[in-house]
Amino acid sequence: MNCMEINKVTKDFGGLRALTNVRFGVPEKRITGIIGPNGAGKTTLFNVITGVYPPTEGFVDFYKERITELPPHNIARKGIVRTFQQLRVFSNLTVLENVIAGRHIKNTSGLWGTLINSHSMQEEREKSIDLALKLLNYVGLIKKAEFLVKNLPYGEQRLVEIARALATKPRLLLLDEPAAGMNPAEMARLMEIIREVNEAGVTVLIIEHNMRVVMNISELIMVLDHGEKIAEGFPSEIKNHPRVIEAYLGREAVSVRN
Amino acid sequence: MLEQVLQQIFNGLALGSIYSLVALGFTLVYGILFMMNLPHGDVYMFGAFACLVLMGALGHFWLAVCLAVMVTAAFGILMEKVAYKPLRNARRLAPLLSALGVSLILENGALLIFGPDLKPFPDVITLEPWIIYGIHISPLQIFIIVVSAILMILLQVFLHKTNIGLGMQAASMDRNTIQLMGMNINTIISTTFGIGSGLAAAAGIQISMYYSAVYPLMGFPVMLKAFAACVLGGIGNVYGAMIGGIVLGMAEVLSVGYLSSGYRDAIAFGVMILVLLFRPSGIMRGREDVYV
Amino acid sequence: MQGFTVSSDNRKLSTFKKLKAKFPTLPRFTKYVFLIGFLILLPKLLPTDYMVRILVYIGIYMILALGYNLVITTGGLFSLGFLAFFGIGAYISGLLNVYLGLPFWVGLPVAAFGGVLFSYLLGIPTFRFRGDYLCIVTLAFSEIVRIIITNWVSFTRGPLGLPGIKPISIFSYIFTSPTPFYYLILIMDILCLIIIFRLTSSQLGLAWAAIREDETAAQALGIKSVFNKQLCHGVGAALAAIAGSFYAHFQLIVAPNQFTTWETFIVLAIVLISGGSAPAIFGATIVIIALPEILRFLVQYRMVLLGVMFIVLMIVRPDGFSFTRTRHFSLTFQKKEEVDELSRSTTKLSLKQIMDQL
Repeated sequence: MNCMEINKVTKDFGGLRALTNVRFGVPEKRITGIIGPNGAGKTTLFNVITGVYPPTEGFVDFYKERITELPPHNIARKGIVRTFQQLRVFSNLTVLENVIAGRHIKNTSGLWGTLINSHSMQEEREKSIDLALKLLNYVGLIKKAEFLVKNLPYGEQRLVEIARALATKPRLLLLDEPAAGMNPAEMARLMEIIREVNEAGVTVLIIEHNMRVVMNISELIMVLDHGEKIAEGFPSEIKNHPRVIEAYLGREAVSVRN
Repeated sequence: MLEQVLQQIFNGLALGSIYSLVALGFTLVYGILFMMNLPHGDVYMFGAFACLVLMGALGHFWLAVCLAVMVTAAFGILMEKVAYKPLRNARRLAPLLSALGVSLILENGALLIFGPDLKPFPDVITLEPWIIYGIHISPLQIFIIVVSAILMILLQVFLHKTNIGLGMQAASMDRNTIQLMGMNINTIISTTFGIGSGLAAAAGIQISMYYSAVYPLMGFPVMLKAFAACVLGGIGNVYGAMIGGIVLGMAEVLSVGYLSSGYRDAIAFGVMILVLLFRPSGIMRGREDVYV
Repeated sequence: MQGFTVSSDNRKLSTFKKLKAKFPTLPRFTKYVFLIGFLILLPKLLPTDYMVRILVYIGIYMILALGYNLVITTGGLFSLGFLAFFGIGAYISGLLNVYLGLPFWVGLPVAAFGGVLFSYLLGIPTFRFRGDYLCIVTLAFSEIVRIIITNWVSFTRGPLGLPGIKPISIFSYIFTSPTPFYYLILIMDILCLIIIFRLTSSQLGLAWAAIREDETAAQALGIKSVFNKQLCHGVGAALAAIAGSFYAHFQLIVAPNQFTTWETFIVLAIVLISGGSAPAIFGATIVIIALPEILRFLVQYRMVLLGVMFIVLMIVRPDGFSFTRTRHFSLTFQKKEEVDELSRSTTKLSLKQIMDQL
């Protein structure tokens, strides 16, 4: 069953058409990959899904609910959480604070509760700290909980971003090139984490350039090129798909293969 | 009755032309750097005072005007190099605070040097109006409208026909790619500030001619009006700044006709709020990436 | 307390009463006790009333500075012309007193409400846009407030100001000397510090910091950015208006020239130099307020120097001079030990188990 339906999504920016009639279903509780050459429109698709801008045409449904016109914070509250291609962490906050920030949706104390320091507020606070620490322990950063994120190496900052996204208890996790800039050890750990996230019941949709990562962990792959979906299928099918090879390597490569 | 309205429209056109010049400098900077050039109004004041001082030193008005514009343009370039350039990659608030600092220095420096009172500005072009169809049209107003129009046309020519001008337009769309294309972003930014400051100086001198007076704090409300004009016309859009300035000038003159003149400067604020509430992209549809 | 590296168990500061009850058993609090004791005795130790008056002014500006600090440092909202709220609070309180005879105790909450209301209205068109818009709109707003107050002479008495505000009275005791006012301000300041501390070390304050750091990322976590910016700015404006109300009932006269745009820049300087921590704000307030009281003739030079300072500060040390960073959530000593245990333990929870607990 598909948790998300991307239905004939088209996105124009002035004269530039970034996405054309993309139609795609994201299977529930699986890991799905999105690949395509640079500029294919992958991040644009993520932005449309998460409400950064609305599509020019088409719509997006999540568990049969239309989410197309919703603002980003509402989409996050529906359980769709993302990471960013260029790494958006809260640099001047500590690792712990970053992850606790992910708990925002789950906390119900408002201004008043905060001011009078009500019991529910204190309990939620304790719980948030505990859970954040547990998540940090899981990704292996617990010793650096009080470090400022900007002082961490790049790979660890990526992990913080992921831990923060997990703190929201997402139903669908969108990862935008999480492996970019990682060394092989970090990449292996990342893949392990992604698998375990999926085992915990989270649907994962991942944009990735690194073929080894994507082919290895995805159960289904969609390929975009110049804003259009050119292929969809299992990794083994996609590997040999002529149109995909053509998109990445050019027409010559296909004829060479043949 | 119709005469009165037409009169106000004409007066508004003259005032608005001056506002357009200031708004242009403001929008050009914002388009490239996404930065509110807070001292822009004070640069306008600087130009007017520079003209006054040079007049005193040289005795020849038109020479003083030309030199004042050039000196102000140079000052604008210097200001950018000292206060903004080091902060180009700093966090968001830093260049704004630095801008605030420049504004404070200019305003209070002028107050210290010249005192808070109005200083008389020479009457070079007479204000004696001709009366055409019952409307008072003074040569000075004609002068202002014509000169401002010429400056705006020159600006358009510069933006569309010269390399640097095209670079400025491109930089407002994508600051990083421009550097990859081989253009020197520093030159572009310096030119932007130079032109903007020069236009502001021209505006400052014109308004001083119009009211025959200058004073150190004349720039602050004008900066706010420049922003209102830019937002009204569409932020980042050159035509928008021109139209916004003129419309604002007319709105101000018309409302002063019906309200107490003390509230004159509040009109711009009202315009600002109304535009942001109901049509944030402005008349000419400015940039879309100002939303969060 | 915010700004100190000693992490105190947050629960122990939950109410003033708990603090007082526990103090005999916690040596850590002796320094607070001495500080508070010193502050209580201070008016008796000073030779002249004039000095106590200066202390009151410092206390009033502290509230203003704390409110402004919340907006700028925690919220990252570049609101200029913030003194407009101070002025609005002062005028609301003053006008209610002069025209309707309403005492300070009514004027104060109404002033606070007024501050929040104007902040909210100003925010409606502005918070949707980039931060730079806020700075000009607030600047323009403060000009408008000044223009309206100056021109609406029939209501506000215009540029000459509104005299004749009655001093504060509790039941029949009237505040004739600065000393009772000092104690009132002291209590208010402590209350303010508690409020600010609670706000910043909460999920809410963290959300404000998140918006400041990266608004897009914050939204992607479900944080409503416009709503939270309104909330943050509103609290700050309320504090500024409260400070204004105190000011009106202390000066017993309000005039537009007391709330110029330039006053905002002085408070801004306090906030920036201090880098956000409460003790540093206190120090900066003292320096910037108390000295010019004595050196009034330097006003113009002060402003030029201020301008230079802004530029240099941004280039050299944009984070200010506080030596400790404001922490939103820091681990208590107890927690740190739990952390050590957790990292050493061999049994690890699976991710599924962790996420089920979320």
